[in-house]
Amino acid sequence: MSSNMIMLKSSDGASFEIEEAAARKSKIIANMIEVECVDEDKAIPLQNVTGNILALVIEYCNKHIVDDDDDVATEEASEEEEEAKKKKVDDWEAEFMNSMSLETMFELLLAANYLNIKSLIDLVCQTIANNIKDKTPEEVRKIFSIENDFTPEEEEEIRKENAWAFG
Amino acid sequence: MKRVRKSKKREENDENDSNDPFSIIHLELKVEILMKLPPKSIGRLGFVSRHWSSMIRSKDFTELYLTRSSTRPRLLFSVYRPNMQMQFFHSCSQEDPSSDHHKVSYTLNSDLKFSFSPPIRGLIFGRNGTKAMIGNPSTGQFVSLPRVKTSKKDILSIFGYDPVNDQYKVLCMTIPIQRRIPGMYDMMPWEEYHVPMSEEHQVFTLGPKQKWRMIKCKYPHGHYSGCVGICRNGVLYYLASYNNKRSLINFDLSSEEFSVTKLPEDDHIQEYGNLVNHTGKITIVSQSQTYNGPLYIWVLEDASKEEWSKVATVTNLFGKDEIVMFRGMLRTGEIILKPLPVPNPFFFLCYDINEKSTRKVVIEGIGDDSAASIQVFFDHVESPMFLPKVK
Repeated sequence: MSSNMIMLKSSDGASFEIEEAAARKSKIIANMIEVECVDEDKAIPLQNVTGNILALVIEYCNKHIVDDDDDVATEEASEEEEEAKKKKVDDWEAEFMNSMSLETMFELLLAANYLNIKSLIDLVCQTIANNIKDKTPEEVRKIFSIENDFTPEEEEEIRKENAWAFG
Repeated sequence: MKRVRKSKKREENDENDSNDPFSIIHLELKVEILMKLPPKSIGRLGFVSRHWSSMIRSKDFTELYLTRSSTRPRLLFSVYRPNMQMQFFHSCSQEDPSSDHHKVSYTLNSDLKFSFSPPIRGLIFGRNGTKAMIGNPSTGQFVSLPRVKTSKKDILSIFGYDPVNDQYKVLCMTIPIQRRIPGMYDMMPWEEYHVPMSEEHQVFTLGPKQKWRMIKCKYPHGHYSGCVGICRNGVLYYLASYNNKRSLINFDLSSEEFSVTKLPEDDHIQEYGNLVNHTGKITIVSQSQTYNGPLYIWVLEDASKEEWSKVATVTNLFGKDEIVMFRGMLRTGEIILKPLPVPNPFFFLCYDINEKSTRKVVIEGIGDDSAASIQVFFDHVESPMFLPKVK
């Protein structure tokens, strides 16, 4: 395992040390490393990500880099072992997302998108989707503070004609 | 003009509302979140706001969703329970039927049993006599269509999608009702009874204020009761009698023109056979009406040259006493066989031609009513599409 460490700097000036292998989960950082714009002594500035969000991103990357290494080491793992490992990751991800507020999730989503970490984008989108899956339109408006811009007449007509959606 | 400006301003407000965490992310990510919802939730959340409605109802959104769900084909069951006067849909993963069950009940004309045609891009067409409907069994939305324009006739209806004009259409035609002894009709070989000519060819295009439109057919042909058509690449196909020969009728949904393709000169296929869409080619699978003989599989290799080839003969499927009815073919090439009578709990068999192996697929929770009638559809793709109001 490469133990090269690199530094990341958040928009609010916080610095984080991270293993290069973990940082490479981000396509953007991986690209920077490829084209050698990373100065070994200097931190990579990430202007769109605040410190508290960057800490979450790094936590995620560290966790998943360890898992990837496991995959290489135990290539001939049995099906049950594979399943157990997948369950372990799923449990960790559920726990990781569970502690987060909706606002944090959205900020994390933006950061994952900016840093181009596909698996994290998927994880956050799926978690937000699960949060609103069984909600009524009213509840979703409340969760996201969305203004209901249908007139009362329109709303009534919608309800009348689309009973299938509200059942 | 005034109205337009007002709604535009509203949209800007919506985007700039800092309380709404949803507004800080751009459209691409919003779509990504919505993509992860089941169609039932999407159908409901189209009523959150105008912004959500326009995101969810856009053509791009539906197409992207369909593309993604086509990688996860599902089994779809339409179950009619006469004792309970109810009809419902049940769907589950095709790869792993024991997981991921969805059930959608609906009470539209609950005293009527609708027969459905195979789903097209997640939508289905149902008919009982001249009453017709199009539904999305994934969201639970069903819209009634105007009644088919006919009286006292047997109706053949086929549902399809025209990708050229992005339109869903139904083709209907009728024949006079036959006086016949129940059961006799099915057992009779093709040429031994007179096939009446189809009449009143009419087309319905899904959309607001649409009506059934009569169209001309230049190829007088006769369809038979219980015939099932299929749709592929904007063309409807069905088997019918043309010039006293069993033929493949093609109906182009875009031009609304009929054409005829000859069937191979084979006695068996002239009598029996079901049309299936298999590995992207029009396929006819014929099985004797006693349901225990061999299956013959013919593929239309080149439609322009009317070139067919017999790709397989499947014999010794099971023991002699077992009666299995051919029901279709999966994308994987597996043949679907339904045992007769309908088993409880419900199951069907998938037969792999190459491996010569059979797997039994048990579906829990739908066959526990012996009076229930069950239709099974394969390779169903979930769609979030919102249907326009027709009437």
